[in-house]
Amino acid sequence: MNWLGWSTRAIVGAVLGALAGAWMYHDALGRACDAPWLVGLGMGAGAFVASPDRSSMRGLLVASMAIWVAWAVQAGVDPYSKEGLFGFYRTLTVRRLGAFAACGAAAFLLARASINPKARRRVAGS
Amino acid sequence: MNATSTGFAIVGVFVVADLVYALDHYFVHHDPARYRATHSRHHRRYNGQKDGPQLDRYELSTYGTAAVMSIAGMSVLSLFTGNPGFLLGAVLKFVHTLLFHLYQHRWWSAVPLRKQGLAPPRRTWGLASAEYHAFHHSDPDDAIFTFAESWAGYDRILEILHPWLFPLTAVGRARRLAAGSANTTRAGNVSGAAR
Repeated sequence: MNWLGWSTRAIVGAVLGALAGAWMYHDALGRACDAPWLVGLGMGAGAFVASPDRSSMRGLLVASMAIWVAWAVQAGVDPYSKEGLFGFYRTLTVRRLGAFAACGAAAFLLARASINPKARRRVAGS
Repeated sequence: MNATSTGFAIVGVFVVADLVYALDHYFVHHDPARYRATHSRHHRRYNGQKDGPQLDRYELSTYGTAAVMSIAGMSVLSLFTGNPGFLLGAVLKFVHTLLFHLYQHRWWSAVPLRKQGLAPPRRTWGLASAEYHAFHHSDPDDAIFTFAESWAGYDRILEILHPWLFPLTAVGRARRLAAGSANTTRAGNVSGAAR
């Protein structure tokens, strides 16, 4: 029973995408560009390329995880590191909230799909 | 973040998750294809003689999947609001589901449920007892709804909303489609006869 479409290939793709996205976001922060959506794009694209099937549940999970990865990256960089690990919500301006929402949206839209146009959709019981 | 808002968040997530479980349970019982592929297994098991652990792999996977989804979503909400109650509420709901499963299936025994002759429960607004839930396993299609996991009040609300909810179910949609195509055929026959 696997309703999440969480195959080994999808996990490996998402993890590699998360690493690439985290590196790009960290680099962007160093250039004063706050772009957490890079993590969402990386993680979502990784899952999209590697997944043999489609699953909206997987999309939602990857979206949540992408936001957590982006949170972890920015938590180690000034000025956000001053707020501590769980003071993240205090750093959220409207623009930043939108950027993190875009991170989740990009991850969801990509990770729920598959590069294979004939990929079957995972449903409950499959 | 003070204890009051954390408490409200825990209770809020718990109540909403419980409602989602009851609603999903109602919908799966009105979706023959989905029922056959997933939930029927659970009913078959509990209607037979007790021959295994209270929670098997399928049930752990089903409840685990739901928990992973709600915990992931609520963890993000906690991160964005700084209120740990959302995450705690989702975790608490998972623990409650596992514990209630163990409690509610205590009628599962050497005598199959249908042979125990359980009487229909009262249309209560209280908690869904083990007997209430056992009746669901033996008579899932009874007029008295018994889909709720903990608060039977959700079943009473579902009974009230049933006329509006039913058309949204797979069975309701299929009936609407069948009625639509029957009307089209009838209209075609009538116009054909007129010619």
